[in-house]
Amino acid sequence: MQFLIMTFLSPQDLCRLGGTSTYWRSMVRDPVLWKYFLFRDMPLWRSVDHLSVPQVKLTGSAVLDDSEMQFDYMAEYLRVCPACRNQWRHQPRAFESVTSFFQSFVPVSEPQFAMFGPGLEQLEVSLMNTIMYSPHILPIAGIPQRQIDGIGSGISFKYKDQHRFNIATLYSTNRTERERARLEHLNLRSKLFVYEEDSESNIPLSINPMFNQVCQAVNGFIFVANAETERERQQTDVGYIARPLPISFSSAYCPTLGWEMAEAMAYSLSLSLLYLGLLCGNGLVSARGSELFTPDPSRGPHFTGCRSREQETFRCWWSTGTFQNLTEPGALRVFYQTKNALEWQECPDYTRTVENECYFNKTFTHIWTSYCIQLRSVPQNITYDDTCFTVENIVHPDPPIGLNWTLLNVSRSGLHFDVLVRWAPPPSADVQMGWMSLVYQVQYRVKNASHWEMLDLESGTQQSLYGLHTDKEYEVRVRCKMLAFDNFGEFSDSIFVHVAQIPSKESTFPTTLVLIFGVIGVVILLVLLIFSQQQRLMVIFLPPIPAPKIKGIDPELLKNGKLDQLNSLLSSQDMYKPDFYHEDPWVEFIQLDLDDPAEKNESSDTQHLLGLSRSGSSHVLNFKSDDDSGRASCYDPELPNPEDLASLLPAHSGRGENHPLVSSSSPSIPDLGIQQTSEVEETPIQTQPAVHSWVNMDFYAQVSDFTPAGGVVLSPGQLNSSPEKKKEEENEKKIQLQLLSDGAYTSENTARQLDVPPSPGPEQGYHAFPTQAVEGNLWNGEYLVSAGDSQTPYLLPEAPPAPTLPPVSDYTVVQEVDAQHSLLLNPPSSQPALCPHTPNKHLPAMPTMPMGYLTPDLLGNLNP
Amino acid sequence: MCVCVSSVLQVWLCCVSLWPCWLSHAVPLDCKDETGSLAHCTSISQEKLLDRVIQHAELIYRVSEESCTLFEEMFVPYPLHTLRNQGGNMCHTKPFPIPGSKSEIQQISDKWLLHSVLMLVQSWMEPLMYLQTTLNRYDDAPDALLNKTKWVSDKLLSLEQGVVVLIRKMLDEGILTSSSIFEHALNPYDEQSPEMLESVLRDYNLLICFKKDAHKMETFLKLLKCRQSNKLSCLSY
Repeated sequence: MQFLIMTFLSPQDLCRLGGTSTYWRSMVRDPVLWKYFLFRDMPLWRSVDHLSVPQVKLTGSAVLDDSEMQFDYMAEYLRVCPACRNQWRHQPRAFESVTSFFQSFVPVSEPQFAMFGPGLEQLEVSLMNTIMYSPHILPIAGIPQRQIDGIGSGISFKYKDQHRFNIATLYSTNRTERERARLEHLNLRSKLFVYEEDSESNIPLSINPMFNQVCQAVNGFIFVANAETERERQQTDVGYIARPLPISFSSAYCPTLGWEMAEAMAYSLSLSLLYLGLLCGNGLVSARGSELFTPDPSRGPHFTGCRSREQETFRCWWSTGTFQNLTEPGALRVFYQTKNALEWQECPDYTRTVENECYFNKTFTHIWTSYCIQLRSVPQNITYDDTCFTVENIVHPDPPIGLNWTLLNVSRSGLHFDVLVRWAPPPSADVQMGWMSLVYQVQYRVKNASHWEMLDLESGTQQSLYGLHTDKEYEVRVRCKMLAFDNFGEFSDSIFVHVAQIPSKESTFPTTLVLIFGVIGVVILLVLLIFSQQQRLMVIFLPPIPAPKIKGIDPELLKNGKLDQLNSLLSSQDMYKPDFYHEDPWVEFIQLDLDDPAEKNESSDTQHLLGLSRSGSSHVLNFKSDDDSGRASCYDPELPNPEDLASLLPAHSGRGENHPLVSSSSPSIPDLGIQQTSEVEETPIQTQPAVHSWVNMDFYAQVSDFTPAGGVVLSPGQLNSSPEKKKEEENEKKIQLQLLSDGAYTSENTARQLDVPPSPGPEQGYHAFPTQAVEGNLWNGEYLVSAGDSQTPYLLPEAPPAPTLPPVSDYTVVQEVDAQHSLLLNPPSSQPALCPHTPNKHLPAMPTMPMGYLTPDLLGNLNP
Repeated sequence: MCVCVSSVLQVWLCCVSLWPCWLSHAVPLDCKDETGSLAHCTSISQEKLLDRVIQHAELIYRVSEESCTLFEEMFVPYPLHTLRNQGGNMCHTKPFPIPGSKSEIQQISDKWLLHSVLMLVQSWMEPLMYLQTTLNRYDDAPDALLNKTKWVSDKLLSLEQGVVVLIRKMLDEGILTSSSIFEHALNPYDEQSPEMLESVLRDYNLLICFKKDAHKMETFLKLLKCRQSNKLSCLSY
């Protein structure tokens, strides 16, 4: 019973009832009740918002199943119903009112609507045609300029002479297919949507992505349902019938709908078609569909406007519209009525010069008084149009005059400038007396740009424009309106503001300054970088020279140039001999020996030459000993001999050519010598020819050089001044030759060397010992103090075997001894035992040995 | 009698001696006390006073327009917006004989101008109070609208004060006891709570009327100022 009563109550009353007590509150929330309301009222609502599209699947049955019991139909109803919807609207704030106020001045592009739906396609006569040929409903305004990609422009309609809007149609298929479908009563699916596959239902799933673009270009959609086929919903008697939207069609598909307050409108034409559209355009937001399609009187004679320029007089204009029989003057007359005088009076003054104008002069113009005017055809007693206003509301002031500008200042950079714009109020407006209070709006833009920048309203007659660019020309204009009224007058004539960019110091200075500072900054940065990353950069640009990696030698020694110590170290560490040989010691040696030639230069040129040669030989000898000492310890027993040989080679060849090693001018021998010295492990075969050549060369050289004295190659005659020494040298050679042959290890060589010696004989070999010993001592004394011990033993053991033993054996003995001493091995016990003694004997016997080794005197001293 | 004369003389002397003091000190704008006479109010020049009054009137006019627009956007259906152009049909101040044409207004004396302003101001005190309460009844009335209404009510009070002072200074006479004129105009504002739309429309009409009257006040005062400046164009009567 309660339920039944409640169904007769309005929802508003129900809510109030629910507010009384908790019992009623629970009763009132019954979903069945609200579903009933929802179904009952929904077809009657004139509009459905995009926000308020009902979420419910409308089953049509009043019986609820379990799942629906959970659904809050009350909330749904309250959300959807238009009367309640106002509460859901966002509340415009102050700035919004201001912006909307300004928006009203901006010429809005015409809103565009896309019309689609089955109602559009299933008719024999196209709906579009129907609309176009019924100007009493909507007059056509033409074909709009704006095009939407893909669907064309549509047709522009006019609403109440002010608003224009476009309607474009979206057909699902082409015309022939549509006709075929219509004849066969097929259900065409709109290609706007994506449907479920394999399903006959025409409920679209989602919108076709191709049309998303259309969605953005269109302000709203009009869905046309075909009421002829949907009888169950058709209620043509009711003026406004809304067919529920397809659930899936909501504003979510159209981004532009989201933020605009969308008004849904539903209206019907006499064709029993149902329209339902979502309007989200600017101009028509609030225009209800009912108003859109109520018969519009503007098509007939109507007022086109009333205006006052100065709030003292006003004029009204009208148009005969489509009624051509009323064009002659006097056919239509204007009557007016003010609230003061209630009877209608005719227009005081029909302007003669202007057609269809009525002029109210100062006497008949009263502000703050409501005027109502009517357009009548007196003979027919028909009132075609009427409108009401007060004069202050129709004031459109004349444009301001005397617009000019003065330059305020130019920015330091010369890029911007400010100007002061001045103007004078319109002369028609009585501003001085205070009859009109005007506010002005200045607009400016870059010349030929489309967008006007608007400044705030200004009540004075001047305003500043800031931050204009010097290289652009600006167009400035101003208009005015009455304070606190809406109607702007016309714009004044534009003025153009242009300030040439001044290429002054001010403009160039900063750039150069910036450049200078920039460069300085970069330099500072680089310096800082270098200082901070010094180590790294050093590594990058100056890669470290690989330090001489001598095992056991302090690199500091090398750095400090303490060569003495270094040499001593090197000699002790024999493996570095070659290096030592090639480099510093050699030079050092030469220097030391320079003294000797000076002493020797006594007798003749040849002697001098000899001295030189001797000095050269002495070098070599020193070398040899040097080598021996080194090799003895570090290399295999066999190797030192070729080494010795090699070291000797240049010496002897040098003797022949006076410049042993310093200049390598001599063709073959020195080269070979060098080769051999450098290449310790030279093959014996290579050394062999060298020996031969050397032997030949040597003899030859001796002949060439010294034959004047001796004549015989190896005769003592060669030794002019110092025969003994010559002998020595020759002995030396013999020994060396022996050694050489030994080093070659070839039977031939030995044989040949054995052949060669005949003249010198073994004694000479014996003679050679002292020289070698001397050399060793000399060498020891001069260079290696520490190595002296090792050197002297070498000499002595060599001495005894030399005379007795053949050269080969002699050599072997030497080697052994060498090896023993350097490596501290003890092969035969007897020889080491000898070693210590002999040097001791010899050394005291040669006090001046180091210096005088090369001189004949010394040699003489030694020989005994 | 002798004592009386002497006392008057004393007062006068006192006034003369204190004259520079009064000039330098800004005496608060309060000329209502009977003893003070007009001499107190000379501290603020009549011109400045008129300026201030005009400022007030102009501000009130602007705010009235803003609140009218605000209300219109919030509550008034679009088709009814045209009501505004019609300037309010049934304003309670309509019975006042206020001329509307420029030539007529120019012929009105200063006295009538001032008294018209005063009448208008006083007639709007109560309706604005009423408007505040009725706006409070709207659930979703924006604060801006409420604040503006409140602000206008306050300013209207000070405007009344200023106009009263002006009348005294300019006309050297008391205020018309005009309150009886308005009594019949105020009766529509009663305690009944009408239907929503009806209430909205009535408030809308009220705001439109107020805006129109504010415009009147502003115009009259400006006209008065023009006349005070002795410009020929303003002295056409």
